[in-house]
Amino acid sequence: MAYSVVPKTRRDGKITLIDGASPTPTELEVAYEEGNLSFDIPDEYSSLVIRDRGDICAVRTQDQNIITGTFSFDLRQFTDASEAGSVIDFIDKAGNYSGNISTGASGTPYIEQYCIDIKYDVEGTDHGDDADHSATLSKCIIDSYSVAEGDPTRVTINFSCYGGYTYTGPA
Amino acid sequence: MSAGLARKTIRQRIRDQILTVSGYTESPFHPQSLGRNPKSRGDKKFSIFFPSTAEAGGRQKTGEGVKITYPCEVRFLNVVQPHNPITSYENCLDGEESIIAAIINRTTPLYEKTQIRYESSTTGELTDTGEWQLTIINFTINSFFTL
Repeated sequence: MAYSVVPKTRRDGKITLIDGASPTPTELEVAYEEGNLSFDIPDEYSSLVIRDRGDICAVRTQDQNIITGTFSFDLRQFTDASEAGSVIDFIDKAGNYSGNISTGASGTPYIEQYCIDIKYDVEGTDHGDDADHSATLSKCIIDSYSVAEGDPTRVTINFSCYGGYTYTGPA
Repeated sequence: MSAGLARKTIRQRIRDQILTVSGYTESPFHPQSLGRNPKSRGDKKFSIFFPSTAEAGGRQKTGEGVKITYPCEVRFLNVVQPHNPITSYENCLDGEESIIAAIINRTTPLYEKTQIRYESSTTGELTDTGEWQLTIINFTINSFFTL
């Protein structure tokens, strides 16, 4: 079938946080979010540009780059010991999610800190696409989150991804 | 549990709060006609009007609903007593403060799934005949449409 002709909007998106439990990971769909997920995927390796009196004469591969991203959602609760639903608990490995398993504990790269996978699903079939679409960012460390009071009060999460990304779509 | 709540329900809950203020009763006329013709005039008659609604961001997911923000106008009339016009105006001020306090008081069920914020007022504007004073209190409401 043809390549999709439908540009996607924030109504099509869904963010799911996934831990490393096996065989069934713990998942949390982020609710009451703004729909403002962004992630930057730089070239896999940075470049060392070598010049000879100003003229580029060679470019050498340097360090592997890091994927970064951010999204925000409306604050409903900080924590809940018994009920699922708190994004803050999920990223802090606290409350109802205190038993979460880090996705960085196995495989390469090994990551000492607690980290999670972040999956971004994009609706496709409802628009006539052959399949839905997704991007999974693996082994994400939450670098920081900020709480900004307002109408509504909003939580913004900043993360770095060390496990690479996987896209899915029509076969 | 859905965050959505019908605006009709919110309107009725605001009405119930204003009815707790002594002497105030809801006008049976359309909100915009309050005070515009003789039949729609009465001391301490009020109406509640949501003139517009706008989306307030978010993904508008089924189950969550559509996040919306909208102004709410509470309008009420006070009679101008011919021999006590200043006292009559002060009645407007008292009524305005009492109604704001009744609505801003974070009571259940008014604040269930609803956020209400006082914004501004125009107080005691005389109608054309000079017999009535119209006060309009403006609130902003944030809630969700159910999807």
